[in-house]
Amino acid sequence: MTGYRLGVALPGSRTSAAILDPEGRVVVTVELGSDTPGDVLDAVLDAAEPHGIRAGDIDHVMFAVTDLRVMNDLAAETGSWRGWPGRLARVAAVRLGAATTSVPPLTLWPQELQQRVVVASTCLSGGAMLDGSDYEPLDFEGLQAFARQISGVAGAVAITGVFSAVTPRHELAAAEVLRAEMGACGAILLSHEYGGLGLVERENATILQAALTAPVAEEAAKLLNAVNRRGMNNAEVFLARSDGTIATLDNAVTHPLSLLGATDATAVVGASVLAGEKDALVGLTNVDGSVRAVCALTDCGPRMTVGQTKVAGVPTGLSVPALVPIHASVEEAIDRAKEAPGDLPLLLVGPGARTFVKSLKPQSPRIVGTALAGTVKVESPVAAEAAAAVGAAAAPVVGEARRIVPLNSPGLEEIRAAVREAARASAMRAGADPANVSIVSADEKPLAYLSEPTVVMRVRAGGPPRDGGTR
Amino acid sequence: MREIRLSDMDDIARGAAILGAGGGGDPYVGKLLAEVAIEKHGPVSVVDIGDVPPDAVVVPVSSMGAPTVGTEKLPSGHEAITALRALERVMGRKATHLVPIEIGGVNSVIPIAAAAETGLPLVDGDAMGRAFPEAHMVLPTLIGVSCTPMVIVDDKGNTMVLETVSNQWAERFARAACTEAGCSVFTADTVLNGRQLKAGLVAGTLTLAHKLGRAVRLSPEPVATAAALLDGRLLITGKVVDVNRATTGGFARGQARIEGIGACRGMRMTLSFQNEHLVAERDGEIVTSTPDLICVLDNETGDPITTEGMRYGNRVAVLGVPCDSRWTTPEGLRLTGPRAFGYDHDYMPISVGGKQ
Repeated sequence: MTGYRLGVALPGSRTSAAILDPEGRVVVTVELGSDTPGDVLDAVLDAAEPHGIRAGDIDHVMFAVTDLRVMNDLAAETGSWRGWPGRLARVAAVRLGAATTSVPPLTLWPQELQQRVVVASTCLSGGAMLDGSDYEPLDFEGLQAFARQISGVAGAVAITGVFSAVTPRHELAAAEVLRAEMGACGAILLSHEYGGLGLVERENATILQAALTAPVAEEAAKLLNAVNRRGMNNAEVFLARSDGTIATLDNAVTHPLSLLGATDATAVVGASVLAGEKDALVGLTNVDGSVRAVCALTDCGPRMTVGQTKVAGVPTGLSVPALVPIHASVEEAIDRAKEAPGDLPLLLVGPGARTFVKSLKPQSPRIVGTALAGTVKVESPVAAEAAAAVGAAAAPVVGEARRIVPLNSPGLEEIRAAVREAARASAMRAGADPANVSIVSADEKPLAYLSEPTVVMRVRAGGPPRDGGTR
Repeated sequence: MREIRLSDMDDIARGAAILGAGGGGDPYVGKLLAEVAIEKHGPVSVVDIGDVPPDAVVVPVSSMGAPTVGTEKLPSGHEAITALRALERVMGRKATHLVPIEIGGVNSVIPIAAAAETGLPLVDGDAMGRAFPEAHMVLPTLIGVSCTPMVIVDDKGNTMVLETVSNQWAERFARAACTEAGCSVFTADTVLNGRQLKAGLVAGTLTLAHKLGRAVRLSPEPVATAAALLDGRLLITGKVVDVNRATTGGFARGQARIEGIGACRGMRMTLSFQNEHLVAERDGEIVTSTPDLICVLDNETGDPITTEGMRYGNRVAVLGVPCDSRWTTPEGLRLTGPRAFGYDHDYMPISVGGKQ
């Protein structure tokens, strides 16, 4: 039989893996004190053998790789990127919007990181207005000159246009000019694919992603090799993202920042799957049985942060799981993690889940009534140690589309339909099964202080991963 | 406060965001501009209203339009000075002082950048004591000071001068120009002389913003600290359970429902907002209404929550803060009371019943 899914979580010094059957039931899980992907793959395949599952039966392999080596230190607030000199791509940054120079590109970057990552930056005429018309005419000659300047020096290019969320026209045209002028020069990343409003944050994120794309792809190829070497030749490989969704390896490596926090996110999704709860609180445990952080589980996914996230000291618009660290007591963290006043189940996952629950009430290891304030029960579900791997294996493939639209635009309904279609297309590019993609959420948020009401449309679409064996 | 240094900017921006009463725009980009300017030109000197000579020429410089647009279409950095210089040419007089037109939100910090660059002193005060959405909603309107000549400048350097028959007309034409320019412009307008400051400004509000931002940052109980500093009343502590946004009649109008938690369990609040929070009803009774300030703060951090940032699950403390008393005169209420924002009821002073 085929159709099995294998999830692997690589959160750091320990690893876990889980195999789910075609109906999504957990068949086997393992959790190891090893940080090597090959070890945990061997262990889970060994464990699966008695169940009659062979490597060739596995159609999908999902890795949650928060600790992909090259990402490791970038995840830290302060950032110590020196771990891998020579590995980050040397990035050329282009901003389209010549009249925006009060805050030039790279203004908020730590100087060392800037010198290490960015070989050249420029502000050229271009970009869009809120209504989609040209902000400034695109400076083709300036782009050609810049291309000649960086040719052979830059390993990747990041292009950020004013209001590319309204129309990416100039970003796309600029990429074409650079590609024609420079030939195959490495990745060209466009900020509209990253999304969001706030030029500085989007530009920063696009530059960081450009620096990371090649080395992350290199690291990801090692994961792919590990899968192939074990005979899972039919399996398509996915990577988990910080919102608890997955995308095909090829798609995910072009958005490396979206991998940050993925093992925490899939641990929350896994808790939901294992305990059968849609809304709860999830306690992430250390191997010694202490709780590292609490995260709210909302509608089967992790609650996400809103606003700025600093990556390597650089402000980005990135959203990551909203982890509440333990400052005083677990109960206090529970209180702060909650989105609603009502009590909720607390689900413990990770290597120390069982130890923590035992420490509360030794006589009843699994269910502990309401031993903690703010909870209706405290539970460590079966296979809680491998929750992050289970979550990776069970996660949906989701795509998103955003657009800023004045509500008096002609053909508003057509625009709404186009944004929905774009979200579906984004989900399919990320590897969703085209026959099973549906709209997950759609919201429209008005912008303040505009005389013509204008909204930010945001649509998410998703579904299960496409059939395996397509590789 | 005698001068504004680089290290003061975070606190001023935090305090100004709270005084924005849900609007006024995130001071973030304006703060960056001010920091860049102070770093280059040195600290900004601040003077009390009482120390400004009678013949002083005091000019408010500000930004107009959608703050969200401002974070995307960043300014060039020359707009405010271009507007100021153009206004000086029109008036045939040089500015001697700058002042914020409003203390709430981004316009509290725009003049700090301009003051650093020009070397002009900044008057400690503003023309609203909070944030309002329209150019004529300023105390100078109440004392017959014209908003015009008004200079409007966009990021490309396009410069317009308005001379209008009323401050309402200045708002209408300026808004149209702003939309045409891409919803983000800078203005210099509503010039005051030294003798008009007492009647035309709320005194000491830059110092207040600074003190407020600093106190909230340092306090173990930020909400209580903010309430005490602003002479505000805690209207409810609760959780946002529903946010409803509609765009009718050309305005983005929203309502949020809040359910009480902790000591406020059982209470319900409906908050009506447009660009700012405007009317708070608790258990069916209006407890605070514009022009008094309704400040929605994160219940833990004391960080202000803007009307755009209101979302399900926010745990908030809502403060009712008295506005400057000139706004609650009949003339003041005609400009900024509930009916000026399309609500079908009169202004109700802040009232909290027996429960609080």
